[in-house]
Amino acid sequence: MRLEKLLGDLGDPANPTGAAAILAADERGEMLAAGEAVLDEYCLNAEFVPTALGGRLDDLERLVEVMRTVYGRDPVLGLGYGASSLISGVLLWTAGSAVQKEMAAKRLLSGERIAVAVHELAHGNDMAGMELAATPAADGWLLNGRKEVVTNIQRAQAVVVFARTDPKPGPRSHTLMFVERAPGDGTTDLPRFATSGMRGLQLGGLAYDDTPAVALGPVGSGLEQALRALQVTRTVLPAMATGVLDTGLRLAITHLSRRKLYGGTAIDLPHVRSVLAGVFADLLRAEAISAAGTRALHVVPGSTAVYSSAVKFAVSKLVLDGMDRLAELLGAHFYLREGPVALFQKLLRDLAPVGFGHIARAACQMSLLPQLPLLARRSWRTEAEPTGLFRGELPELRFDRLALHAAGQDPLAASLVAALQDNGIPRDVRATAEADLADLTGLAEICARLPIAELGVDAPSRYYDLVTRYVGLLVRISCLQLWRHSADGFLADPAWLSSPDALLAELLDRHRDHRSFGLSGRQLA
Amino acid sequence: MQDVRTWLIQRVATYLRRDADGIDTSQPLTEYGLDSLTALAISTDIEDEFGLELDPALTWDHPSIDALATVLTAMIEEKAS
Repeated sequence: MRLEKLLGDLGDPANPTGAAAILAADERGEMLAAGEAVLDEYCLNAEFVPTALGGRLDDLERLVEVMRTVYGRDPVLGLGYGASSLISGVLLWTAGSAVQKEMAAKRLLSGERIAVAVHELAHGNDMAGMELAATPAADGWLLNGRKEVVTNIQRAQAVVVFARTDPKPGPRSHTLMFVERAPGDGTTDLPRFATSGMRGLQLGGLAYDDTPAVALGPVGSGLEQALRALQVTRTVLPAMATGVLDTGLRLAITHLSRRKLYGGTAIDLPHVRSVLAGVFADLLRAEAISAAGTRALHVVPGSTAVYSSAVKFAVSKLVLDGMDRLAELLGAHFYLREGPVALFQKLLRDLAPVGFGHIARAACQMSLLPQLPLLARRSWRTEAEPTGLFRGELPELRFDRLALHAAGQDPLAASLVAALQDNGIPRDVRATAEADLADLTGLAEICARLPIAELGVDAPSRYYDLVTRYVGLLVRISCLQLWRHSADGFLADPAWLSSPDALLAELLDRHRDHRSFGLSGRQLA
Repeated sequence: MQDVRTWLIQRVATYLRRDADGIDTSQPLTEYGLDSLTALAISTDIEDEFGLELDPALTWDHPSIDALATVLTAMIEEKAS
């Protein structure tokens, strides 16, 4: 892939976008300037702009794959150059007028940054609680208040701001606003927020004092637009993060292949091999559910209020746990900031926000729990064959078809029954799938009868555990379907679903051949 | 056919864990602490009970029991005709 070639060999000490340079920038707490220059040359922003507006965005799977290359090189570049403009982009493509969308597209395509300011320290993920206020003015609105811990807010030429347009509590009290930065606009930059990972990320804040803004969409539509548009980023941002685990796995194998202890090489030890195979399996699982969720945004956007939260909840944990297990294998070496494995500790620190950034895992559980009864009643005891979720050409991405909730429509869970009618399933895979079906049926019984008034923020732990069970099922179903719909190669042989030996052999082959460990197995520089 | 308003008051009382008598049907339900996600859940309950297909944000745009009862009654009558 072109971007991979532009970034060059990670291990080359002379490469301005190689590991040594990346680590040096991290030590200084700066964005990697040479990395940003490469992304400028590649015009990464074009990946965030729909083709209808002059960009390259028409296939979210392609977007994820491109961004995995970036995140796998430097997650700070991924988030700091890319993702923040992607988030503002999806809000604009969902809420903006035709004129506003064209203007935003032009800005991004010319290399400008658009930041997105939703977050206030006092309110976390509680969007309906946000306080920064917008009051009507002669030709638009005036903003007063603060936004904090926002990526690129200081160096962005424009900002999408989530503002309160009605002091009453409720879901119609906020509106998305668009602010162009200009001298004398009443904005004051807040001091930069320092973090233990993503150290180069420009996290800032702004205080607004009668700052002019224009509304995106009807007054009071802010929460609705955000809850719909952000399903895209809630899905694709964790999906991109698998690139980080991919690189971590590569670094670990390289190190363990050279590490001589107790008269042998570390990678020959059965325990080491077992852990590596397990982490590889988890990377594939993470990308399988990511693929289903990403394709769902095109194929069944009415259901992604469920799948986006499921992807975030599942993928973040899979990649974080995987990285932790690799750290254990590396022993003291995972902790060193110098030496051949030094990049690992940076990636480990940079990965942490995948659990809480953009939306926290707990908030995803909160959003899924009240939807379980309807999913159980309307989908979990039905049959579906949503082939489009697993393979084939993707239909047009329609931001206007994203919905506030899934209305119980869950073709992914409903696909398990039909899948079991496939005679080509080997015995051990079938046994797992049948156990999964029994689990789904049992879960349906419980969830159909959950007391609806007890599924809010103060729900008991045992109800939240149901969400964990459900999401685990979706991951396993995604893997089964990925195998069934794979035409050739490693994924088409069901061994990867259950055989540590098959996984290990593939893992070491790809390491030797310098190919990535995710679903695409792409060639690395 | 069940009275929409009566059904709504009972249903909302369950969600709010309150006595039905204590609910002012002209007040936005957010005044009683109903959060935006629960409001969506009420919308799907209404669909199941009355056989309607609703815009998910209906309870957001008709935030009191009186307002909801009015719009739902109209929808049910239209469906029957």
